[in-house]
This record gives sequence, structure tokens and C-alpha cells, in this order.
Amino acid sequence: MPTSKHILLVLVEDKPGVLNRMASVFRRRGFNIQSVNVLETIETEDAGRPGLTRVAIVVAGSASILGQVRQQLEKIVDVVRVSDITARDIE
Amino acid sequence: MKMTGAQILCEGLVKEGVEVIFGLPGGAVIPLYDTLLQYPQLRHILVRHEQGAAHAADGYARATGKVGICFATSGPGATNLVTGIANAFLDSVPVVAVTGQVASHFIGKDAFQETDITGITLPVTKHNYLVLDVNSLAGVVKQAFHLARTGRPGPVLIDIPRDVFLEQTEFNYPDTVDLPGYKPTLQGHPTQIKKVARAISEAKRPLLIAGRGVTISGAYAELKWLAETAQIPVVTTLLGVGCFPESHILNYGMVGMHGTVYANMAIDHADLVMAVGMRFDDRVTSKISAFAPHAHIVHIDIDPAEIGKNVRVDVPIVGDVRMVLQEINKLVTTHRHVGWLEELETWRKEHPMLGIRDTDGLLPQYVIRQIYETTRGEAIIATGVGQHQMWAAQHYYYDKPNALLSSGGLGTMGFGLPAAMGAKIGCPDKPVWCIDGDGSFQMTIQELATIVQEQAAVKIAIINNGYLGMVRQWQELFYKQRYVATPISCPDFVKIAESYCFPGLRVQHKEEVVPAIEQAMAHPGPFLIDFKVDPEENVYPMVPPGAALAEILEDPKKKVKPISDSTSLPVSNI
Repeated sequence: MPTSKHILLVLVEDKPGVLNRMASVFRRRGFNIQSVNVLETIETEDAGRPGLTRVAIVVAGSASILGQVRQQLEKIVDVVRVSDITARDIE
Repeated sequence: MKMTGAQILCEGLVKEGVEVIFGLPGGAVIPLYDTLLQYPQLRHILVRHEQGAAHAADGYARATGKVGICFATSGPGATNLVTGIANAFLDSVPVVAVTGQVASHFIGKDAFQETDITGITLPVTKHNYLVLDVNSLAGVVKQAFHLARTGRPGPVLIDIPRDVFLEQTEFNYPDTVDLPGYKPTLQGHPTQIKKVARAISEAKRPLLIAGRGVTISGAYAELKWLAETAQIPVVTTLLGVGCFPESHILNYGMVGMHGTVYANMAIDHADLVMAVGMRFDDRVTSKISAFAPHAHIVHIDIDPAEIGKNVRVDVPIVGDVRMVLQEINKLVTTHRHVGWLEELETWRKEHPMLGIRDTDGLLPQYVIRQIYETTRGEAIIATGVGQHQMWAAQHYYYDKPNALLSSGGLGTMGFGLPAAMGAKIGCPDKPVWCIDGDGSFQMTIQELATIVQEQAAVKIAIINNGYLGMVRQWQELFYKQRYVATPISCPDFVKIAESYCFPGLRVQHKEEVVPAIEQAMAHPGPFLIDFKVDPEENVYPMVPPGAALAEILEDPKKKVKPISDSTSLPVSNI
């Protein structure tokens, strides 16, 4: 299967353990995470609830399996949204 | 009003409609158990091993449609739950597990009876929580129940340190949950729904494969209407058994490794396969590249991660099965597929499932058929895993959903007895039978004590062949009869029953079968029957591992002496 490099931008709730939950999905499907960057938290207006954090994950793998990984990431309750920004220009 | 963490948890359980808890106390949860005294409406069932608590909560949830609850202490208590949690996860069963944890200041220090249970259960729960602040507990309980029962149901674990049970705070139970990352899609996409309606109108050989999603969403009427209106035959997965009546003329039985020949032939010949609330498990599809080779595939499921995971799909629809079928049904008109049904009927006649060989020996299939006849098909059947499980699926007939409780995804031996107990406690007015193997039964046999203590009138039928039978069958067929580690001894099960202070019988001959079942039914409490069956009987039909569905094998012994069974199923007209 042809592999290619992908950059996933994951919007998550800023809670302990969320990185572990995401990493577990990659580990289970045998993906080696090439780099991971946790960006600063976006505070919400409601002080009582956690803010949101963006996590940028770079992985190489087949597009079809990565598509499944992406869907499994989206199943994580603390994950709000997953975008594949590989094709996007970095601002 | 100020409450302790333990009180907040109990209040939450009451508000969520919990009536029964399966659990076993230990050091970290003594404050919780002490608080149970103030909540007599929460009935606690003391199990003999935490795996039994998780399976009982699972069986209770499947039989009643409510969320099942189990409690365990920290460390070994929590880890003992894990098999049961994984079982509920793979079969999408709503269970909330509450575990005690060591006091917060001990966490991470390898304290006595400490395990990282949220870490351990991360891949086998829908979600889990470690509650370090009593102020968040009420919200966590609310979320846990919401997650367990909505969308694709599943187990949720709440881990609570000992000190959090004791801390006090104001109790405010939230009315709503705020989970920005959790919004299950319920309504199917209208464009996709139109595509399905068109595919149905164009199909010559359509087929519905119904799975547990039909039961979870309660889509029985919608499925039946669609099948009857568009004249589409229905086959089911193991977990879908009963979601479409087995006596219905359009029901062609179970698919997959031990499904009917005609169900598997139907998949092989269909030009439209509509998979409804199922996930194309490998025990269903067998060789993926040969699955439904001529079919346009429609997949309806609430979990987007299931779409395209195992099988290529032409029309995916993410949504609640019932809501999606309601929309599809609005667009479906009457169709007739006379030629297709004739083809299926020919397969059904040529490869009947009903026939049981006429032998002097005691065949397991015969025993299960007699349980069906004698209980008039009204029992809830819980099984372990192995040959007896497949025979219970094949030779008992299910016209109602939630009547066959079986471990489909994880294949957990030992599920049967605690699941039957959970089902009987949840449905005390229904007859509940545990059809178990001698191997499976010995894995959770200690729950007999719980059944007796609670006087849960579970009837136990042990299909005793002296082997780990399914593995032995594989060894016979694919490993040149090298029976390594499959001959298994067992205690005298009748004496076991006696020592647990309830009656049991041993049955070795055909003529004893029905009187024994009748005696079990007439007895008000639990009852055990040890059926000593033909030790080397195999489960057929069988798709060999790695083969295509069409390469299904039939019982070679049947060809030698084919005798049709006098029993015939009542067939309702459409």
C-alpha cells in the first residue's frame, strides 16, 4: 500500500489524558507518530469548563488506513474535530 | 444541600433510574457501600467475582434495554471487571462500571490495591473518568449514563478515589450534558436515503442483513415493513437473532461461519445487500474479497467509524437505524421478487437447518430443540461461547429481540451464567435459561452462589461433551485430530448443584430429556441439568476459516443418513 505523509489537526478538550487517548488509536494501528505539537489553549468564555486545544500530528501511512484512524480519533469523546491539513498551505 | 461523593453517586444512580447494582466490595469502596444503606431503592447483588458483576450488568442491560451497573473496588476488583467491560464494548451494551480507587494522595505511588484502571480500560470503554474533584462528580455521572445509552451504546467506567467518596459538596444534578466532541448523527443524509430507495427499486435480488443495531434502536416494525413491502429476504448476524421473527417466511436465518447455507448463498448471489446496524465482523463476512461479490452494498450504522472499515460500501448512511429506515420506508413502494425468493426457497429445501440426525445417542442439537419445544420458545437464552453457543443460536428459535444473550464480538467463555443471572434479575417474570458448555460453565461457576443467595430462578442446561468442543472441532478438521489441551474434566455438576443447595439432574438418554426440562420448569428456584451429549459432535454448517461464504461445509454425517425432522416451524404469512 502506498504511504504518504499526513498532517492532522485535532481540536480537543483540554483535559488530562486526551493525548493518551489519541496516541492509543495510532499505536493500535501501528502508526509511528513523526511529530506531535500541542498548541496553546483557547480559553472558553464559560470559566467552569475546560478550554480547547489544537494538536498537530504528523504521521506517514496509507491514506485508507489513515482515514479509519481519523474516524476513530473522532470517536474519542474529548475530540471535537479532526482536519487533514496536509494539502493546505501553512500560514 | 451538602452531600458526600458517595451520596452524590447514589443520588445520580437513582435519578438515572437505576434499580439494580452488581458488585463486590473492597477497601476503597467501603464508604460507597456504607452509603448504600441510605438507598434501599438501589438493590445490590453481591457477586462472587467481579467478572460476574460486569457480565451480569451486561446481561441485565441486554434483557431489559436499560443501563447495567456494576461496582468493584480498586486494584484486583477493577481489573477483574475488564473482561466483562471489553465484552460489553464489542457488543455495544450500555454498562456503567464504578470502581473505587486508592485515596488521591496515593495515586501513582503503587499503593496497596492500586491500578491505573482508566489507563487499562481506555481501549475497551466508550469513555472513562477518573474523578479527582468531588465537585465534578455529579456532572460525570450524568455524562456517563448519557454516553452509555445514546449513539452506539457502550460501557463507561467511573474511577473514584476513596477520599472523593467522603468529601462533601453541594449536590446539583445537571439537566443536560455539554460534550462538544460527542454529537451522534441520528438522521440519515437525505441524498443517501434517496439513493437507497432507488437501489431497492432497481434490485432483482435484494437482501437485508440485520444486526444488533436494529434491536438497540428498536427498529423492528420499520424493518418488518420494509422487508414485507419491498419483499426483501432478511438474514441476521448472531447478535441480530430475534430482531426479525425467525418464524417469518422472509427470515432466512443467521449468516456467517455457522449460519445457514441459504443465508450465506443469499449473500453470495444478492445484487443488493442492505446491512442494517451491523459491522461486518469477520465471523460474518469470512473471506472479505469474496463477500457479496455481485452486490451493491448499503451500510446503515450509527457509528461513522464502522463505515468502510471492513467491507467496501457503495451507499453509506450514518444514523440511527430506526430513523433512517423510517425515511427510507417513505420512499419505498411495493416490489415483488418471485424468482429470487424461489431460488432461496430451493436452497432452504435442499440444505435444511431443521433436520437433526436420528441416532440413539444424545445429540446436543436435540437437547436444545427440546428446550425450545418445552419452553414454547418463550425463554430468554444466555449462552457461553463455543459449540453450544452456535447450537443454541441454530436450534432454538427466536421470534423476539433480546431473547438470545450471547457474547458475539469478544467471544467470552463464562458469559452465560452471570448474564443469565442479570437477565433473570432484570426480568423476573420471564423464564431464563443458561445454555452453557462444560468448559464455559467452569469459568464463572462461582456465580451459582449468587444465584442461590438471590433466589434467581435461572435454569441451567450444560451441554457436557468433555471437551473444549469448538477448539476440538477445529483440531479435528484442520489439525489432523491432534486434540491438544481440549479434553476437559469436570466435577459432578449434579453434586455441585446439591452443594449449592439447589436441585440438579443428569441426563444421558433421549427419553429423559423432556421430563428433565419439565421438572426444571416446574421447580420454583434455580435448577441444573447436566446433559451428557455425544462428545464428538460438530457444529455445521461451517464456513472454514479463510474460505468464502459460498464454500460452506455441511454435516458429512447427514449425507449418510438424512432424516428430516418432524418439527416444522410455524410460518406466518406476509
